[in-house]
Amino acid sequence: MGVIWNAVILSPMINVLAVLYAVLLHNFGLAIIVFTLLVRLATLRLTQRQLRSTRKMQEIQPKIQEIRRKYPNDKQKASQAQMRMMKEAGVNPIGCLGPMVIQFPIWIGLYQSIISLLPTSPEALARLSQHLYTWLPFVDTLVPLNRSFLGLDLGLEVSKHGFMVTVLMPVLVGASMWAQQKMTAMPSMDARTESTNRMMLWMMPFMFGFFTLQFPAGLALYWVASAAIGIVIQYRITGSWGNLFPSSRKAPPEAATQGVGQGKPADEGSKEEPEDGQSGDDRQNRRGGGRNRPAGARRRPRGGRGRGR
Amino acid sequence: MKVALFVLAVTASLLLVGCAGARFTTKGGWSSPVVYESEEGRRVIYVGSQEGRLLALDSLGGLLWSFPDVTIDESPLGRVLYGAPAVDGERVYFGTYSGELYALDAQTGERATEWSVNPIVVDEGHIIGAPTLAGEEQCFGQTRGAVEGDVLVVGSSSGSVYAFCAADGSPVWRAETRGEVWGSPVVSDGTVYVGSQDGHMYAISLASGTPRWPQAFKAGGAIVAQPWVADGKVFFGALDGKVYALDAESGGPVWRKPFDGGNWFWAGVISDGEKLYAVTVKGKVVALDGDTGIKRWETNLNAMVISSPVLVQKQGGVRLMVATKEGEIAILRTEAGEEDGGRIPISDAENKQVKLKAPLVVSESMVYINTMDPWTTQVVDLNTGGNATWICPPSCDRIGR
Repeated sequence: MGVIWNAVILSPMINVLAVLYAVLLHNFGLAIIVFTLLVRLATLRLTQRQLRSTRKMQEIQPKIQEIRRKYPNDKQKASQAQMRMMKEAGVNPIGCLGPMVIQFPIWIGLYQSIISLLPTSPEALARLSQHLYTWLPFVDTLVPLNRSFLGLDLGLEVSKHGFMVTVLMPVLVGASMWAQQKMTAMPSMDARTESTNRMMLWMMPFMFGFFTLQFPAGLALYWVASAAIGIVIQYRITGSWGNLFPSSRKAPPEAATQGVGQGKPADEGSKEEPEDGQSGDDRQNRRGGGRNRPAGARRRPRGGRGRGR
Repeated sequence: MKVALFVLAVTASLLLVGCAGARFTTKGGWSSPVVYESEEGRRVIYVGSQEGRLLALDSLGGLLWSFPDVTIDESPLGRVLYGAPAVDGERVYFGTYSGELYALDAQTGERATEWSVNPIVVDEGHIIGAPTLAGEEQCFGQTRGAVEGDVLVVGSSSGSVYAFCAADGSPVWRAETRGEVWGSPVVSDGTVYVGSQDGHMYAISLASGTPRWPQAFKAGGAIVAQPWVADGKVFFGALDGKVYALDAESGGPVWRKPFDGGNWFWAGVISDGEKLYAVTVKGKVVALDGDTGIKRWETNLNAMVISSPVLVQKQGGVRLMVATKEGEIAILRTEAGEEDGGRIPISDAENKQVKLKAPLVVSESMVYINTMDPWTTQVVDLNTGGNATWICPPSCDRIGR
């Protein structure tokens, strides 16, 4: 297993980083940023698929609610109907996991690559010697790499830096991750899902912000760069900042007449108004997402059910 | 779905933390043993254990003392030893990865009381190379022991090289390089030769700490090995895959061009006066003409080598012994480089192969080996079949790995 991991993930990653370092004027920080960009570009199709899947999931939310209402006591039937409906709509229930799953080995590999490329112990140097491709003649001479970037020691744990870096890096990692998640956040009509969404939105950035302290600053730089590039890519693909800046959202033409919440398909939105008062709109309003809704959206019938809870 | 994402994220995070916890931050340490023979003919082996203790063993492996003392359950240093200890009969000196320099009584293993601060925290860097002892006038008159006049020279990963009076630990000088110093300094004729990861070989006056050469010699890559100084020349390998020979007086190159081995030279080089032997990290062993740098022979062990090779007498001839990281010792004939018999496997009590990274140490026909994963100290007597015999454990079985 270790041999496969080294051959497929770690060694290529170390050598790509080493080549980037050589090309980018011996600046390891830039090498990490460009590497992140390359990873993001390599997983672009997956990201597109993920976004599409997320959007479709949003679109079929009302139908899912309908199914749940239809089979309140038969979970198996509800689940079967849900799966059938997802299949018909062309939604892969785990479609949005792709880029995430791809990123895990990259995180772990990158962490190991940074430790290996910036060796502070003979063990790390010994490991590095086993990973560098001998047919890349110049990589041998790169060691030791310049580990400084914008006041960071890229090989040193964030918590071992000065006070400013120790505070700033976790905040940057957490904030960038939050912003990216907020952009893709999928409003749900189900109270439980919505509460999980909210927890995820805060929990993950907080968790990673905390973890940042234990890891080399180079990995924190990767996380920040990855989130920032992710936000830009997402903006380029969707043409909007999503939930990050709701006012920037482009309403689909149908939405203007149907008065649906963001991302909801025109043909489903108003027809599938949930009866349990879990109005997606209300939640939107609570988050401030409805403040700049297209004019047509105001025409959406409101029964005050949400408020009555 | 989101719950699944969350679980996945937590799993990945735990995995990441797991990576940080074990394999990628644990320091192993591979200090080589030092064999000290007293005037009365008593042989003591000083060796660092993998968990961070310095041990004194008798020639049969009996534990004389350990520091910190294992017999009263003192905790190990936790910070490991890479460099071999320096011994002068009265004291044992060693540096740790956490940058501390200790002086212990060689007979009892207790801290030398003459050092007002013991250990000395050299600086915020790590001590990876071995400290080196050398006689120097500057330390006469300051002493209270039999080590009068000795200077202890040690390098740090902070880039500094330090000299202390061995007698009382008082500082003598500090010299700077622009990279981490991992290799052990070598002292010859009042000059300290030490390589740095800034890619330079430095020559420093032992008396004053000032540079001896007009400028430090620039190699093509970082230097982590200690140099070999003989016949007015300084030989060393570097991570640019080249072996260099410099004039010890001027620092100028002796060979028309350095020898290109095609891969890192991490292990130190060794000379028999005629040929210079060097091993790349991928296990290519070369013999070079000491005067010209021209290759005499080459052989490939096809294994990783970090441990510096040694020359040893066997059946009237000289053999080159090279330890591979995967736990084998190859014995090569120095005339043409062919292997003399099969490789000697070094195993632990359960017959599993161990890791060999520490330099081998030779005393007469005995080769002392400090292993890792698990830690053991073993000895190979080439004149009695060449089989490895354990000297510690089992006698050191109370000492953890």
